Amino acid sequence: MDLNVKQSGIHSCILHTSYFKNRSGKVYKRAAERYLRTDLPCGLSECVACKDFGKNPLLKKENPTGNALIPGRHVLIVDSTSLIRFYDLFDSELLRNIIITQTVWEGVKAKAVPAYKKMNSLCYETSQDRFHVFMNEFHFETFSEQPRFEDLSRGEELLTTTAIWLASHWKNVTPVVLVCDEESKERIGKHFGHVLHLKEYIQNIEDPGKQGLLDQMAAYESSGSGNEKQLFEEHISHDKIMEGIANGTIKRGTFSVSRENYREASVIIDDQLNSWFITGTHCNRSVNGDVVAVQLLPESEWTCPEKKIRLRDVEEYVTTADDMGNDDDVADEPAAKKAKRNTVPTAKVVGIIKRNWRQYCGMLLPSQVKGARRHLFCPAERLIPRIRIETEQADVLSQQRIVVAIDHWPRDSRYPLGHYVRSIGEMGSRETENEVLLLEHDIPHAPFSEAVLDCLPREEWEPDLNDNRGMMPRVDLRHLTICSVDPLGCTDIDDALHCKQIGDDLFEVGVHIADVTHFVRPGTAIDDEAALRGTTVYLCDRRIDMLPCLLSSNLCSLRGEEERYAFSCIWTMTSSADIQSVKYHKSLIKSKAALTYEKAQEIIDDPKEQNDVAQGLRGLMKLSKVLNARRTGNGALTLASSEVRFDMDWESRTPKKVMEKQHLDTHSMVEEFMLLANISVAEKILQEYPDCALLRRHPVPLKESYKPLVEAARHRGFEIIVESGKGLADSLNRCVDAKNPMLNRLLRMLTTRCMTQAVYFSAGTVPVPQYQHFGLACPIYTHFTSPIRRYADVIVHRLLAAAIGADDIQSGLLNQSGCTKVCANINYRHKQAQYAGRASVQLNVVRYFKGKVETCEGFVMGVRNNGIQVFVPKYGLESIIVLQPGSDTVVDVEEMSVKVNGVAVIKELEPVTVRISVNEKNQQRPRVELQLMKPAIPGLSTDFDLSSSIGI
Amino acid sequence: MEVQISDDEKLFLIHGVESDLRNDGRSCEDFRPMILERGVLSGTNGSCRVQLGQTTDVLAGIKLELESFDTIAYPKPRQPIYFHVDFTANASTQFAGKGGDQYGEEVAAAFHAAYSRSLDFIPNLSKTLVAEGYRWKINMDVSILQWAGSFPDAISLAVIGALSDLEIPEVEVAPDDGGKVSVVLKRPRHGGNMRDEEVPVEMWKLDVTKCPLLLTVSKIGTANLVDCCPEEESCIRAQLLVGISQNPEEEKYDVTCVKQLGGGLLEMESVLEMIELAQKATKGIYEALAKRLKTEERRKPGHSFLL
Repeated sequence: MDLNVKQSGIHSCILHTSYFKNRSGKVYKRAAERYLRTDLPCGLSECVACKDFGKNPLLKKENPTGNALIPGRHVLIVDSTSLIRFYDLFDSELLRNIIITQTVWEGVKAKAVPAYKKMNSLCYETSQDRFHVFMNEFHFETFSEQPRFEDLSRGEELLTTTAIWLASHWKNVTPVVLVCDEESKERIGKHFGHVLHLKEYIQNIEDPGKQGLLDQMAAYESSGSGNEKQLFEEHISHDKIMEGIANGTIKRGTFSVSRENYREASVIIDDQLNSWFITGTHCNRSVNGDVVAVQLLPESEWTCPEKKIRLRDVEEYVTTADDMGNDDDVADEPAAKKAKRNTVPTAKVVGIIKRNWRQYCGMLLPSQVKGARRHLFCPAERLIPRIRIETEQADVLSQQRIVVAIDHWPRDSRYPLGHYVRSIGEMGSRETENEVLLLEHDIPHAPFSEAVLDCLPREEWEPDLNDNRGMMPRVDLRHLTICSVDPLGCTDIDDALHCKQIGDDLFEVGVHIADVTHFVRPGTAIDDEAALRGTTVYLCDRRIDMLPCLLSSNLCSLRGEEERYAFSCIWTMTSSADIQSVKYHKSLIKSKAALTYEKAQEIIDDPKEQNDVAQGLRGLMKLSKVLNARRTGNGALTLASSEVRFDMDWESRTPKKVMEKQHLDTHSMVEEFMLLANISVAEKILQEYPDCALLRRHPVPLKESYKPLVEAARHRGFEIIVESGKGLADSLNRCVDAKNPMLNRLLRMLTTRCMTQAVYFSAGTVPVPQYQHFGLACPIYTHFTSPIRRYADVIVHRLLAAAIGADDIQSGLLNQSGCTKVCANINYRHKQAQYAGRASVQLNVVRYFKGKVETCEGFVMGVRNNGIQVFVPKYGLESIIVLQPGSDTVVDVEEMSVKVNGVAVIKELEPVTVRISVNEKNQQRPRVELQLMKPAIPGLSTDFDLSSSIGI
Repeated sequence: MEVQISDDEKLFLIHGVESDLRNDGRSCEDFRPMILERGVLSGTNGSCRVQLGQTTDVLAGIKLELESFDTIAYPKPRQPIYFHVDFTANASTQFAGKGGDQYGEEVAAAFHAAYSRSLDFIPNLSKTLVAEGYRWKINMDVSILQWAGSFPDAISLAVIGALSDLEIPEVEVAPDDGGKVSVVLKRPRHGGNMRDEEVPVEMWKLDVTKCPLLLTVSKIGTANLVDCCPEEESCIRAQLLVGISQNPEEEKYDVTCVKQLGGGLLEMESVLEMIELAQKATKGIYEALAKRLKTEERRKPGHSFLL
């Protein structure tokens, strides 16, 4: 140093350069000065030269036992591979006086976080004096930029240089280099005498305790191969995919992840709903919803679903998830291959055709390393993988719900990489959680725009009979005794009924539907908005309207004693419900009473009530029973759902109590006439517009898809016939167990799960036999009766109005591709609204149980290798109780039972007693927890909520 | 740089030059002493500082950039060296603020022209195209620290120096999604125990023996001069920037570009004479340069060139 004052301990300065590539692919050169020092402690306690430099713990306590391979006293220098692979071994007292070089330290820190944490605690948190960290890269004798041993790897070279120097520095203590790879041992051996394989060293420890270590080592050896750099195969190019699709080797489909096991997925590859199974790394960076290109694996590699519940939060519960992504995902892959028997066509993803990435709500996982910049983000939707993001403000964000977008998913990364977009708000607050729910389900929920509000009529709007749009005039029906029946608190009344005896055994029955299309004209802003929203969404504590409040709760709503426009469908039928004629026209009505289901039932049952309304209701009730019997006779299914309703305290918007939906005769009365109206209208519009009528169909399920139902029933001793809808309905009716009154309902729930959802479609896009609605057992069906809350009904109204000449045929209405586009959107919105509704219930269940504990009855809905699914009907709650493998508890997936000492104590569909509480251990994520009370089984612990699409 | 000299002084200077005797004692074909030093900026991928005499001082540094480009838009290999010339306000107050920008662009354009065929005269430059759609872009940033005439000459030397100092990482190309490739730095030795980043990367260097020099040749009175000082530049009638590249196989010196700097008229005959002078001067410089590049001892770290 020419112009520098000699400073304490500095020997010289070197320029240290390194090159690296960052995430976005830029290559950087980093140049830094490095001052090599003379005053770094070698670590040996008896070393006179280094005694002033620091703590020198080595050989303070002699090695308790000798080692046959090393004569005399020695100190061990370990390499990073040994530390990364066998870090648990170093807990043992048998291994002591160990030097970890700075190079190894940095290497382990960068490559394996679990090993790093262990190493850090061994060196600094437990004061055992067993380890010493030697700063070899700052020591003037042990570091040099220029290579000294060209045949070694750089890491080995630095290790060897250190060993050589230490050997000359210490006179009567031997440094021994421990490696765990034979080649490396051989290479270093050429330059330095005392190199041993870690195993070799342990084998030669003269202590019986070594056997334990060797066993431990053997366990590790089988498990891990070295870190492969590229975790995934590359995606093939677009041209190749197209070529593959053309010659049939590659199929395209939507990637859908299993709700039970996040490592498994399936892709439906053709119209017959055949699907290919995909597991583990074959998913090749696909995210739920992506359109992917898949290729079938050779049959020898086919596997089957694990039948094991794998949810990320479950795993997190069992082992703490690791932030840096060195967890075990790949290691225990072969587990699935054990069950080789019932293999299914298994495929791998070879390319992504279209990403379905959007912005995801969720939260940061608490990081293991303090002050880290890289964090794992846990999306609220559990089908989406964790996302790695970089942020400096983790402390702030950890308490918030945030939105994150995925940027890309490189081949060498276990998780997709993303970035922070914005924060939604404080975690746990009602507004934030609702907002998350709406965003997650992609529900447009902004206030209506000015342009939309401009389309509304004035509030003091008055009906006008001369205001005709089509050739067919509006009919004045104000004289009829019309009434509406709806749930309590309903403000958007879109249907009303009347019934009048007009002759001997001849009745006039009318269904009057709110005339929304009078106000919502095609091509206006309000129509566009309604088409976008598709449906009104009902959350427990909020309703997101499809149409602005003025229409939905006032001008369109068929309120009692107010004159309203309606679209009427009027039948004349006999008392045996044989339809003589049907007519459709627009009308002006004045509802005499807006009743609730309960009130209507009361009126019907009360013989004192003899006014027009009561008479009409009784007539309707009688006819509906006939209609219902006929429909059931045709094989219509009665299905059960797990839905519950909350009685809300509207002040604080918190749930007060839970009500199961009560079923009254008036419910089915209204339902029958709505079905009748829908079917009649469907027939009319299909007849008029056979290639663009908007209809609704429910596909006949494949026989295979009934498998879980048939199996479950068989274990209970019932036979389910799946050949036809009629057979299914009848056999379900027969499944009654006096001891288990819930059994029938549970089987019906299982039936629902075996089927696909009903969908809207345009006539002419599928073969006519597929028009049928399986659940309702009718050949065609549509939605006509709720135009205030469903956009499909709006379209059907327009079609019907055009068909009967009550309105102009508007442009774009009679267009098959346009209709298909509308269908796609409303199908999607409809599904999302359903999910959102359920998620909202789940959210409120958590809120309801805050501070409460309740014991109630639940039913086993499924048995998996590592847990049972339990359904609690009272709260519509479905959860998993994780089963930790116990010594005498055995899960028999074939028989769907859990056995203790060979006796089946838990069987599918049998009742169990559970205790419900909210687990607030994790403040950020309180969740409803089920605990098994009866039968008591050791090893069955807490639950995880499965019924919601969102893990809260 | 502004120099204020009187007409009489100019006349004295012109007469002196015409009799091959310059005010500082050189003859018309003499250069001031040149100092060339490489590796002066450790943060760059290659750097060089050149001084002419004690007064013209130029610093060139290279930043490498791994660039991906559209193979359809650029089907043919392109020249990867990009020049940017910056006049510091230290060189002259007239460059303060944005004063030097336009001038800098002009000079940079001249270098772009001189290096437009760089793929031909730097034989291994085509290696910068590492894979389909990926190439190393060489950003050459030149800073004029002090200005006392003949700075293009100094820049051209500094550019060659920096290019010879440039170390480019070797890369490995692995196939990636959608038929693309991923480029990974080639680290020939295994890391073993270390962080991957710390493992040395294999580097390669450019062959600069045929890189062009750009010399300014000035006409003062009837004489042609190389390497003018500021006083002389105030007397110039016309000035040419001549790019000359060595052709060692045929022992020839090819002219790669000729550009007139500033105003003034020249007859064709004079132009040829001036080019001839430039070619003659180049030979000596190339020899000196080659020797310097071969024998230069790098500064040890901890020794800044500023000390």
